[in-house]
Amino acid sequence: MILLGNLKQFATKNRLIFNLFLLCQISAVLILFFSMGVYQNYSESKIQEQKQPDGLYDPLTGEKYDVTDSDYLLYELSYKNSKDNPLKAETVKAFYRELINCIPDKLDGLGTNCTFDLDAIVFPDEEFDENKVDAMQTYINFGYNFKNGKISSAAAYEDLKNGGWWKGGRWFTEEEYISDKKVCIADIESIKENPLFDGKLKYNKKNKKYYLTLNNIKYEVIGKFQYLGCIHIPFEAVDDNFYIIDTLVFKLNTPLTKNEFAQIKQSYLKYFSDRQVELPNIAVSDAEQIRFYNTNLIIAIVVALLVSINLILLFKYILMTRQKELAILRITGATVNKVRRLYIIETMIISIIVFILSACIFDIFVKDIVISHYEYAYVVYSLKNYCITFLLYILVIYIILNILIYRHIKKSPVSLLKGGERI
Amino acid sequence: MILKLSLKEILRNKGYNFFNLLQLTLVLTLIILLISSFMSTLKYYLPMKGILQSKGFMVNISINDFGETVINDQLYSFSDKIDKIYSTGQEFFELKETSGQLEPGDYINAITLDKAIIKSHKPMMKSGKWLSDISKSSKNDELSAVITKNSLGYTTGSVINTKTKDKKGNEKPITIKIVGEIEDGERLFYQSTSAVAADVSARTDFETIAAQYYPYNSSDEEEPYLVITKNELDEKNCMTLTFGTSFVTFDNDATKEELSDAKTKLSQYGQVYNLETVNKKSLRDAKEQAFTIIPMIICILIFLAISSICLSAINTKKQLRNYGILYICGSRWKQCALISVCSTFITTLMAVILTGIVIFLADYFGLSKETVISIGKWQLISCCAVLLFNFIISLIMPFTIIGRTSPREIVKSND
Repeated sequence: MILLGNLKQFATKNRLIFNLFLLCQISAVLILFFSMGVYQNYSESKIQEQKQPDGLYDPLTGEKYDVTDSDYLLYELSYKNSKDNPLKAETVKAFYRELINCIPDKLDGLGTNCTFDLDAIVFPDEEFDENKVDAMQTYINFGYNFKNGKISSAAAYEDLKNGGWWKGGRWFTEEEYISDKKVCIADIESIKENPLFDGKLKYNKKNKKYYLTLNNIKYEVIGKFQYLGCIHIPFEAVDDNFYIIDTLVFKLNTPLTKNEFAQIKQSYLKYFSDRQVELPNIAVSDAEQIRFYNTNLIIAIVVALLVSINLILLFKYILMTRQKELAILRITGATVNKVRRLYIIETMIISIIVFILSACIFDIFVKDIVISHYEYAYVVYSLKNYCITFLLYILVIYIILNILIYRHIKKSPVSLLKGGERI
Repeated sequence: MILKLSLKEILRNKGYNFFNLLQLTLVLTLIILLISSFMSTLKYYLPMKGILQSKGFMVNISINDFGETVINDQLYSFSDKIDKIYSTGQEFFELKETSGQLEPGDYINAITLDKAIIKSHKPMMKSGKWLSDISKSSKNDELSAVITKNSLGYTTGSVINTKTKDKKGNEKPITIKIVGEIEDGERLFYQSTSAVAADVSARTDFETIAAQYYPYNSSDEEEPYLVITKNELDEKNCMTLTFGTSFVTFDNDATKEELSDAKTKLSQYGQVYNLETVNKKSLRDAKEQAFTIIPMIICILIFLAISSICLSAINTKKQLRNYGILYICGSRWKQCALISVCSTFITTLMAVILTGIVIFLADYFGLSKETVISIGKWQLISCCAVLLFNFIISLIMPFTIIGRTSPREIVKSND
């Protein structure tokens, strides 16, 4: 009852201030919701610009790539290969290591295929020999898959298992995947029939395990699958002297920045400059557009700051208008805590009602207009986000009020009666 | 006296005025941000508006069927009714071996732009100044140029001693003084030869002014570029080659036949676009982006107006008792209002200084390079308008509130 009485008194005695207080709070809440939408829109636009800059088009269809496309941000690097100067795993591994160092968070995966037998490779400058075993029929795959910016054996296994080619045994442990432990996963059935592997695949009856000996390195076959005679060997366990037979592939999750691209280009030229290489068109985001989005993001933040300062000023004034009342309450025996609670509840009642009212006004009348102008703003206007904003709003008001009230209560009742002046 | 009272008033409410100052600083910063953001959406259209609204054509000049190029003032011979030509071109300058890094016979490509185009867009510089910000060299054999990121070792202050041809085709020595280096990734008025650019331009409407500006990414490009003012080459009697997007404007009295005749001649050298269409499409594009900022500006301005009125009312209410006392002591309401205005002026002045510091710090810490913040004519006008509004409110509010109450009531009230 006291609370309601106080509120009624505030509304009638200080009608102008009360109305301005309501107006200011309503506009503050509305602008807060609006700036949330603006922030969301430009933040998403910035991500989209970074993810899908100009130039990311399917060369065949001419359609702009969608983030869900398998070829989205998938790059294949080619090089000149010849029998006199074959590309070895050592060079590729060194290049990939630099790539991982350079953009660890942006890689989804990288890898290529190699072979141990130089004679099995048909080089572009050679004539086709039908008696040769095609190296691509028995290739060794190596590379890394990534999850959340970290090398992940599990992510690589998921890809393989989803393909339905898994036949038994086990996949590499995380430790095996990153170490040079001589283990492998192989298409045993195809290998058995391949003359290239004559004498290289052996079965140990004692421990019932297969072993592959390639370039005098013995690999234990820990898992079996069936896919084009392929062998998977962990990145570091691949012999440096194996010969690369395929393009070098890497897949990104986000487009590169200008600097990252320059770094990659530098490493690429470092390792492949003698192979007449040309880096594929790796699109980088438009710096000017990003600057535009950054400005609008800052605007949304500054607006939110402005709203909070505005509210602080309002609350501060309301407390000042009631200094004498506070002094009387203190003199008549009210504890500091009781006075604090009384004031906070009074302001909170108004704030909560205003917030709910403003949220309804925004949702019914303003939301659609905002969404029509800012295409990504809709994400932020959900019931969950309204509730989170409400809780944050109330929490911030609670903290601000406590600080302000504490400063007032610190003053003696006599000082408060004199209008807050020091005595 | 009024100033003294105003200062006293400010000091008496230190806490309140601190937040008031903070709020005003944020408002001014916000206005600068908003206008900068808005102006950035029109930055390619507005400076070229005059040219685009003229009668004439935008021509993408290259070579004709006989392999001939357009040199010097040749375009003017296409019609007597041509008013002005804003052309772009290309030049190749031989580089002499200086540091042992270059082979004799190496060339550097230069983009030459009309001074109107140079003035229309100022790219962000890594060092030095853009061509429109420097005074041209008075020496007949010296040219000023800016350069893009390069591995040749050229940067601001470098000098290239090379040769070119005069208008009669005789060789003449020339010194190119590099006055600035453009930040990598900045947009320039040029047609990139990179594969990415080809891919992008195949899907971009070329018939807009913004499409003529393409980001120069050294990682995409095969070679660096010099940018030179074409008019400077002309003035120094150097032969100029017109190559790329140029604007040809005609006298207002040019007839349809004359325009059509000139168009036929121009189309021998490349694609011709009507300036009226280019203007329409450019304006449409500029508006499209500007319209995303306008609702934000409107909403924020409404909010700022409401909060400004509220705070001014609060401020006046707070001072009401003091004003009442001053009135009883002989002061007039007008003088009381003057105190309010004066204190607002002092707070505003401090806020302007603080905003200046904020902008300076943003620039110092490189934030301005990550945003489109700029201080220009429109930003300053908008800030002045906001400050003026603030003054008017602080002037009107005391009269509105005081007018309703008698001094006796004011002094009696224990607010």
